[in-house]
Amino acid sequence: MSFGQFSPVADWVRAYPQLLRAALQVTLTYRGRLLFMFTGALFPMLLLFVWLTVAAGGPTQVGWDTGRFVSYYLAAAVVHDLTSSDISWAWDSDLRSGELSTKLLRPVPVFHQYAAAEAGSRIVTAIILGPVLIALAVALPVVAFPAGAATLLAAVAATMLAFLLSVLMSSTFALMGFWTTQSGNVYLLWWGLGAFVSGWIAPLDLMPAWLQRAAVLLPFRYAVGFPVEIALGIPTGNTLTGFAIAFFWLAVFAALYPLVWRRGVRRFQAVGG
Amino acid sequence: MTENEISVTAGSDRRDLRRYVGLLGIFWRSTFSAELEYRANFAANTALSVFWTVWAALGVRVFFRFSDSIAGWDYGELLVVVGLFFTVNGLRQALFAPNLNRMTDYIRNGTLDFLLTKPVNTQFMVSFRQLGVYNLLDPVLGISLSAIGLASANRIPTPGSLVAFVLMLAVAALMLYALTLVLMAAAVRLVNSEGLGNVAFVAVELSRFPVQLYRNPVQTVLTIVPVAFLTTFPAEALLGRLDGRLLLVGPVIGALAVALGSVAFRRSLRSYSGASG
Repeated sequence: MSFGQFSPVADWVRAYPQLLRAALQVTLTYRGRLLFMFTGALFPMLLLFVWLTVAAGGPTQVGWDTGRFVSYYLAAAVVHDLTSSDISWAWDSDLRSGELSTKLLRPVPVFHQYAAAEAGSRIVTAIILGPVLIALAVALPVVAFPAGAATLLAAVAATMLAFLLSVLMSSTFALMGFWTTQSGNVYLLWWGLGAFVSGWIAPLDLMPAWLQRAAVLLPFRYAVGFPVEIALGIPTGNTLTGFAIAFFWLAVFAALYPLVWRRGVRRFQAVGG
Repeated sequence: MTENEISVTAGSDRRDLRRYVGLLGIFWRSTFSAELEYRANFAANTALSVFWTVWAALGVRVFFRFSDSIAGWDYGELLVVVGLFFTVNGLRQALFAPNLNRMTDYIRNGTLDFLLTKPVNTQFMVSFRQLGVYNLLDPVLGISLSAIGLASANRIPTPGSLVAFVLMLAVAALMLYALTLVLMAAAVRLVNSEGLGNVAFVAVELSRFPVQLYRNPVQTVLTIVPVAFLTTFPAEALLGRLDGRLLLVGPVIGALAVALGSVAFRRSLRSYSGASG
């Protein structure tokens, strides 16, 4: 029974403030988990240190100075913490524990329950990491973002877009949980493949040209590296085109999700009796 | 089940090595047969491990677009370290992490009280009872990548450097075990140990690259906080460029670390007052 899916739009929109408040409370109750924010930042920091060694190794064609590397990886770590989505893992464990059945009975569509929980925890992340990033930019002379109101606005917009795209992608992959017990891992594979063109393994600017061309067209970059590139003033390709492609992928997954949902949820009833 | 076999031998010589090896066999067989029900998961996890190993090997290629050698490491040599990273990380996930994770349950549910009454060394029991079956192949995969790295760097190891490598890898395992013991001791005192497994994860993650790839002060810090023991030193041994003194100092430091870890663990048990009483 998923009548939540067919309830009037106004219902779940009105539920959002309450869902967000609940998510904020959960995040603040389990404060220990906030530490994971910092372990997530470990990988980009390691890459940063290696790049600094590469750049210091003598005359190379890298073309990036220390400041740009530091700025890129600091921003990438923060954006990643703000936009990466754990929905497919949460869904995986909810399916196993039976919690998903409870969620299906609530009058708010399951997608929005997960999305709101994710958004709530990211608001806490933003409140903590936003000031940290600003403080670092002020305190460390090497950290430099071209500060213009338009750039800043575009970077914030791109970050929110990245969050939405992550949530939609992760939720769509989570639906595979109706067929397999590995949906979390499948999403991780998808994300891992994308890491070569998302700006996570290395800034796109330093990747071979053919990978850059692919990256502009694929969804991954718009979930990780795009906001960082904008903030640094070094977007690969045209920024406006980038926003258009991001919206395109958003639309693709927004269309895909309900399609898969309808097939999957029927199967779930069959399994759950 | 296994409990009977254990109590039959109770009271015999505690130092009987064969008995403990036998116990280890019983522990691991029971974990293994429990997990055999999920053979598809085993296949899926192995496929994932292969994926992430290839992922990391391709990922570090980007650094070499701009230079053939970084801080004295070329691509093939770096692959040796990346392979060892997966080896050591596999050891952590197969041997140490499952036991560390159980520690919280032991304390919360009062299982530790029960374990303390068993005629088996408690540290042995909590250290090796569980086995991460899904990650058993990871060390094999890691060593394979290291072998590919050696071949592509055209550095075929001599028998001497192979012996040095095995020794240094054993030291790496000792260091990791010592860290696990300290974290278990912390778990006894803190009860809530949600972040403790993370500490071991971070320590191993830091060893993803050889320490020379980081500039100072990070490089010095990672040599003193013995992250260099996990992958850098074994890799250097394999490549035949390890500082010979480490062959003597390494095992001593490894043994000392485990001894300190055991002391920390035993002290934490002394402060433990039981969960069910």
